[in-house]
Amino acid sequence: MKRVILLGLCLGALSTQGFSQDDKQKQDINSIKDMCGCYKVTFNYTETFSPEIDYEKKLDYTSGAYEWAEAIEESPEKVSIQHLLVLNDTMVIKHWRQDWLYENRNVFEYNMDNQWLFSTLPKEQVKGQWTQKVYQVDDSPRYSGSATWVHVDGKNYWENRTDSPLPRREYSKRNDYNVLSRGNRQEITKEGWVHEQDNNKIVRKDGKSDVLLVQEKGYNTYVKVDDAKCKAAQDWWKSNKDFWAKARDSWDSIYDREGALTLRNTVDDKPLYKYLAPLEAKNASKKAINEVLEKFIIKDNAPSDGESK
Amino acid sequence: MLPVMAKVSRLSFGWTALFLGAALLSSFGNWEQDPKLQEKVDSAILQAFEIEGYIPIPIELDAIDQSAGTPKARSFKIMGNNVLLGYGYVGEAPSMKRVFDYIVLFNPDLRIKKTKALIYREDHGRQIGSERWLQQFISMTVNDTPNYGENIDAISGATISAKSMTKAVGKVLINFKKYKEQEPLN
Repeated sequence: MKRVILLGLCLGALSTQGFSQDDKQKQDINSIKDMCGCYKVTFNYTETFSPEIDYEKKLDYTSGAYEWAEAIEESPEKVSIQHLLVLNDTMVIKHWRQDWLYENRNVFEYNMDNQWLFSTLPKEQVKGQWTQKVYQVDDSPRYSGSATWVHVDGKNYWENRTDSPLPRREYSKRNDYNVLSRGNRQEITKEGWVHEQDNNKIVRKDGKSDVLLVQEKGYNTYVKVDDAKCKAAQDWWKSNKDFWAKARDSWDSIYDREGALTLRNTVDDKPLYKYLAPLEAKNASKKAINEVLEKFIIKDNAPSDGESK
Repeated sequence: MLPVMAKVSRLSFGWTALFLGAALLSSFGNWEQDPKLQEKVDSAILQAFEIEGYIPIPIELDAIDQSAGTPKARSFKIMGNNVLLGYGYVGEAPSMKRVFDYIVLFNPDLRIKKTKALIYREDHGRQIGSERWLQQFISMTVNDTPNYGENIDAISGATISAKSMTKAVGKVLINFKKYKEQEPLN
């Protein structure tokens, strides 16, 4: 009789645990999907502390726009959200993409000089975690990081630190640092969500320790508004999603690797998005996309020639 | 010394100018042997004058920082493409427990172009690096006198260093006034 009771308790515990994990995963997905919809976005960045007294802080950066965030792929193990900016009600700019992957082991980490290192994390390290992979406007890599979604005291947030290239707002304006160590915190709020950042602007050189140039606070608010405000983006995505599905497929083949991926900034003085724009306009084939992407990949041992700037 | 020379070479001044610059620099003394300070001096000058290279030509000034017991003070003309861009003074001044390095940069008419704290060696009083505070010295001439708490705002929590910086800039102005009286400005 005792054995029966013990077995029953064990099974009950297992069942409760199983239900709890499943429930947590669903709760995580709900939080991730809470970032979808139409938002009024404000971008705010300010430099804070520098270890060197002679560092001259740069001016604050502020900007704003409407942004449409659409779940373009969804399963219990993956949610992919495409962000699209809407300017002046009609102008649409394909913005960043964030992919969320459950207990994912394949990650990429930014090194420097437009190089990302692809690696596999140990299974036990990613248990219960979600990897956030963030991509550029052309679906090239930006940064990734794994952490646990936290749901406590009525708060729902995910936070992680990872290295990335310079942000777009400083990419062509600064050369006094070459790596942004990003402290990302994404919290779902009553109004929408907040992307808070505690960033370190780093000078990285081969064989030397990283040097901190200055720290930066980022505070980007996403306040949910009527979906109608983002109609232009919804329409744009309907017209262009097939092309970008092919582009993601092409990139996925490139990302299926261990080790380094180094990309050229430009080919014939033109960045990648300028090559993709005409292909997008004619909904070009995956083969045509592959041909363009290949031009931007620096092969192992190939010199970083003058095309790369 | 090397960072300046590297930048100078980009200006294609020619071997004569390089040789002259190297000879003059080697006569400068101690602080060129501090690569960190040298880098910060270069950076301050290049940014302030928005140039890619320069040659410093030493000039004689009274030893402003002798009271602080330092031999590191240096004053110099700043030359670029054989044109006088301005003047510079790199010195040390006392903070609460240690000393900090600073630079005062002048336009050719000896009006202050910029002042900066370059290296600060303690946690207390770092507010003197604030650009908002330092810009109070900009445009002062050798006939002006910065007075802490009067035409230069006081800084709560950094009184010693802020007073020290104000006093140091005042001394630099007095010494450059003497220099102006002795040397016709180019």
